[in-house]
Formats: sequence, C-alpha cells, structure tokens
Amino acid sequence: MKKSILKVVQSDLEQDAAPAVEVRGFHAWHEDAHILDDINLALQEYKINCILGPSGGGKSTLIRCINRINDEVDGFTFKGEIHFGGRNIYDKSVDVTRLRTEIGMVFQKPSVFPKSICENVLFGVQHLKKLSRPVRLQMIEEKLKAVSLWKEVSHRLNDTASSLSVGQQQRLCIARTLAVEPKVILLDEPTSSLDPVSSRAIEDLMLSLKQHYTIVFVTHNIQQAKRIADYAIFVCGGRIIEQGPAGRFFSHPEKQQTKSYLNEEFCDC
Amino acid sequence: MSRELVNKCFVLAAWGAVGISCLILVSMISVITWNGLGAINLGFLFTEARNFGMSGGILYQIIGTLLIVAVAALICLPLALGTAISKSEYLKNRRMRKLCTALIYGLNGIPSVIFGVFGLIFFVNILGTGISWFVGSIILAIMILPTVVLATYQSINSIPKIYRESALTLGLNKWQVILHVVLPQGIGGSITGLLIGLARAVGETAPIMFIATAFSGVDIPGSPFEPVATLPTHILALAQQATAGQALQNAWGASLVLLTLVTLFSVTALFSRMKLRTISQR
Repeated sequence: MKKSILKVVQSDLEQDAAPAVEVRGFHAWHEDAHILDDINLALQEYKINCILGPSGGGKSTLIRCINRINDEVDGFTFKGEIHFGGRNIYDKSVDVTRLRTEIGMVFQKPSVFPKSICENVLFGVQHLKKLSRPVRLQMIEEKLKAVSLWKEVSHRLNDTASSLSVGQQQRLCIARTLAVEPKVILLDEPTSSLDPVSSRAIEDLMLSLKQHYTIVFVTHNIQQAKRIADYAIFVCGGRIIEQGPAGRFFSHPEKQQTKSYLNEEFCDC
Repeated sequence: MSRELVNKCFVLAAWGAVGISCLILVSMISVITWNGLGAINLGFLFTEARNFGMSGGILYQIIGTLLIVAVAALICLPLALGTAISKSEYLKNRRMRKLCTALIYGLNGIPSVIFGVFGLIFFVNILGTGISWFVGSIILAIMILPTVVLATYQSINSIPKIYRESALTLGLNKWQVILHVVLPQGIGGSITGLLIGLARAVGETAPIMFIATAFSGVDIPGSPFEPVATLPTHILALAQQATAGQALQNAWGASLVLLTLVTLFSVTALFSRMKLRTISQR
C-alpha cells in the first residue's frame, strides 16, 4: 500500500518537475487550414516525451514549431507561446539560429549531405565555433560512439555518407545533431523509413541519450511509444486529446478516443 | 483506319521528323566544312586580316570574340547566381515569384537586335562610351542572363527542402545554408547554363555590331572602350562583298571556325551536365 502511494506521489512529482519546454495556448495555420488548435503542453526534462497520433493529426507541425523551423514554410501563421529556457521562443528578441542549436532536430528521412562521414558529423558544429584538428577527431569519435556507429564506420570515415545503409545514415544524422550540443532533441518519426532492426537500434539509442538530453519523439507506432516513452502525448485532429506519464497513459487512458486509438489504432477525432 | 495503322503512321512521322532535322544539320555542317576547310590553315588562324578581309587571316577576330564572350560570362555568372538565389531562397511571395519568372522569360524573348539598339542608345550615346567591346560584353551578358538564371534556378530548386531544413536545424543561418548547401548544388547548373548561353552569345551578330565591333583597323584593345573585331561581324562584312571570290572563301573559313567554337561550348555544356548529374545522384 505504502509503495503504491509512493509510486503515485513519484509519478505526480515527475509530472510537476520543471518542464524543458512549455507550449501555451498555441494555434497554427497553414494558409487557411487550422492545423494546431489550442495546444497546452509541458515537455519533461531528461525524459523521452513521445508525441503519438494518426498521420495528418498535427504531430509534425507541433514539433516543427518548437525549433521554429516552420518559420521557413510559406503560408505558416501561429498564435500563442512556446517557452524554453525562461522565455517565449517566438519573442522578437530571440536569435532563431541560436535557438536551433539548443533545440536540435532529426527528420523522418535521413538527410546526409553529399560529403564524407566525418564532414557530416562536423557539418553544423564547425560553423558555430573554431575547432582544432585534435578536437575535431575527438568529436567525430565521441559522437559516432554515442550513436553506436563508430565500430561500423571507424575504418572508412572519409567515405561518402550516402554509402551507408539508411539506418546508419539516420544514426549519422543524430550524431551530427549531438555534435552541436543541443539541450533538446526533436525527432520527427525518425524510424518510419527504417527496417525493424535499425528502428530498434534508434530506440535503444534514445534510451541511452535521455540522461543528457530532453527528447521529443514523434511516432505513429503505438508499440514503439510503449517501449520508450516516459511521457506520452496523444495528438489527433490538431488537438491534444490526452497527455500524461507513460505508465498511466498506456495502462489507464482517461479519454475514450485515446482508448480506441491505443486498442484499435483508430481515431475519429 | 485501324489503330494499328494509325500507330504505324505516327511512328513513321516521328522518325521522319527526326530524319529531316538531322539531315538539315548534317547538310549545313558539311557544306560549311567543305567550303571552309579550303580557307583554313595555320596562316589563316594566326595572322591578322588585310585588305578588308580579302587576304590575311582572322587572328584578331578570334581573340575579339573570345574576349567579349569571356568577359560576358564573368559579368553574367554572379548576376545569374544572385537572381536565382533570391528567387528561390528569399522571394516568399508567390505573386512576386511569378512576376520574377515572367520577367525572366520576357527578357529571354527580346530579339537580339533590340539589345543592340538599346546598347547603342544607352551606352554609346547617352553614357558616351563610344564603340566599346566592354559594352558588347555587358549587352551579351544581359542577353544570356535568362538562360543562366533559369538553369541555376532549376538546379537550386531541385535540392530537396529537407537539406535546407537540416542545415538550419544544425544552427546554420540563412547565408551559411546558401553558401554550404544551396550554392554547391546550384553552381553546377549555372555553369551548364552559362556554357549554353555562351554557345549562343558567341555567334550573335546583331547585338554587338553597332556597339562593340569595327570591321578593319583593329588589333588587341588597350582599354575597355575600344572596338574589337569579332567572327560573326567579320563573316557578315565578308558576305556583303560576296562577289569577290577570296572574300567568300574567307567567310566560309571564318564560319567554320565560329561553328567549331559553338560546338566546343555546347559539348562542354553537355559533358559538364552529365558529370554534375552523376555527382548529385551519388
């Protein structure tokens, strides 16, 4: 009895821990389409925050707002606030380039640059600060080890990155994001173009990375979310239907839509 | 008529069209080669024209042509890169983009003699440059600008959006993305476009005949504001005195040299395009 109370308290505490990113009353439009409708959300620090939901529900738009990459999209408009590091990231005084170094992002399809494996790891970071050669080499090794790619590629670091398998390319994309040393990493369905083995490798990687980074992981794969999520957010039809600590979310969802989505992968919102 | 028959007629017509086009090209090239080869020897290529082109060679015409075209390329390339980049990276408004495209096609549609008249009025008369090869280069650069802009824009536009977004999320700012992601891809297209444009510019007569060239009494220019002799205007002048056999012979020879230059540019453009395509596919 005591234990279970303790658990409840603990999970509540987890929920109340200082959020890394807080989304407040956020709306987004693309031209006339209302994509996000009053999103209120607190993403937990050093946790895997899983955003799940059916395709076209606004998951990608939501995380793309968190590092303002949507600013580049034609016809994008928004209302509301997203707080990170004590201020609203949409504030006029925010340096967007700097913000993106603190909130990194990995996309659905691996997008390695037509350069060598080494150059891909250093692609972002070398433009941010001057690195001496030993530091570069150390960084390449460290980051490739962090995504468990070092053993596979250490003998051919100067090969073009496109010679890697798709799964390896995706891990390389994560490595180059890590090299920039972000605090938050956004991943937009990073495993959806990968085979099951590579997907598992990415999942394991997420579990090891969460000690040092706040992870926001978008997926439409419920099983995957169950395996890795600490905090789950169900987004459907541009709204957050339900959110909470993963244990409770998956075992006792409160909303009917969440239940039907978790059981039948069907959603009528 | 049965479908089968229509099909056969269609195939026949298509091959017929190809055949006629090839025949025209081959007969033109062979007539020029046949008549031109007789005029060409080392002396013709490496001596200056004498006696109003009746005797001597076409050395200064070749140099003049290459000079005008090379400087036109140098003027055109940065302008084309800048236009293509601003069109694809900075022009967000769809209407403005359409307007920009319309203007580029509009510029492409202007007849070449109009460029010549414009150059004459604006540069030579109003700005008072006099007959100047440099003005000719500027006019040719403006003339081939649309070709180069469109080729550059196409190759920039074919870069998937995800590469730009990836670079942005890695903390690069806009100009760094342009420098490290967009330009390496776009430069290939613009060089191909430039070569295609130059292949056209090298043979243009109308835009430069009033403003940049003189028929005789020119050598290597000492300043930008002197005229040069060029191959196309030389051919024009020789053809006008076609009654003299030697003039006609030299006109054929100069034509063959010009044709060779055009072919060189076109073939280089073709190869650079093939090579760059394999790079971007890698």
